[in-house]
Amino acid sequence: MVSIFAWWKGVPLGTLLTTRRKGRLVGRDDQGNTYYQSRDGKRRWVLYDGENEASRVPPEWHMWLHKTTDTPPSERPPERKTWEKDHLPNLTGTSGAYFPPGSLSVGGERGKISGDYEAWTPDS
Amino acid sequence: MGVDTAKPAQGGAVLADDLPRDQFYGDLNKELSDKGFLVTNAEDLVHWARTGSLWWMTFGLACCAIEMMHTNMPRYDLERFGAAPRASPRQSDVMIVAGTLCNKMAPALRKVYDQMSEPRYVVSMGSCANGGGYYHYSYSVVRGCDRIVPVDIYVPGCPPTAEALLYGILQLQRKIRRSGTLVR
Repeated sequence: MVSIFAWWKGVPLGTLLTTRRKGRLVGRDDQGNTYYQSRDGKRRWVLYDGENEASRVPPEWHMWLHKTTDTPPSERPPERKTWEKDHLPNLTGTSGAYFPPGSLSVGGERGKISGDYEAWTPDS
Repeated sequence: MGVDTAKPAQGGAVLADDLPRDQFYGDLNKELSDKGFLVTNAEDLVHWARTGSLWWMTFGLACCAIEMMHTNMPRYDLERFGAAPRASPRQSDVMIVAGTLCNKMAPALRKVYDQMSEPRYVVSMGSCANGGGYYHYSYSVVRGCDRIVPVDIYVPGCPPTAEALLYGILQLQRKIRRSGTLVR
């Protein structure tokens, strides 16, 4: 059983109590995060389904959360363009993190100092 | 508002069912009142202790240091995550390289890094520390502090906002949680 100290794993106790007391459910996104607002609508917040990571909020809900729009996307979903990719949270710090080929973290060999560097000469 | 106006009368009841992890706190409360103590797994405890006291070496080199100070001030309040500034490298866990690293400063940076005790982490803050930035073609500037020390987290920006650095620290905590163990 995880300790209450492991705040990164789920909804912290204080937020849960506040949500129960004052929160009104507004909607839920594809990842299972739930969105709440206070009764007067002045405060908006999110309860993450799983790890507490800010980039898990998809763009349309991000807009609502930051009061760019007052209509939540559950009420009016944004137009879906064909070229749009699915929302991907920030992978830094996970096993899916990006490392360039020369990175020491993946055991890569970095070229000599002149290998990846194109020096400028006055003639060129 | 969808749910808001649809069910005004029974708001509380709807919410109680809908809240995630309600069960978890119920179990927690039961266990606490039953046994009087809590059991956790060692990994969580280690992660909590390690990520919860990231004392950072104050290595401000340029304008990024201003934003680094803002991160520590009451508005963004880095200390709520247990990260406190520490002027001595021997007692700090993470070094935030904030600003342009000049050739002349590079040996000093390496010395400070070598003095830090394990486990140690480096956060590279701003374009200049990431890859030379504006001064990339200068004769006197190191093209990224990762040529001197191994970097864990790169925070982009010129300078990054205080919010961005705060997010960078959170990402570092996430990395520690994945890779940190007691074994060295």
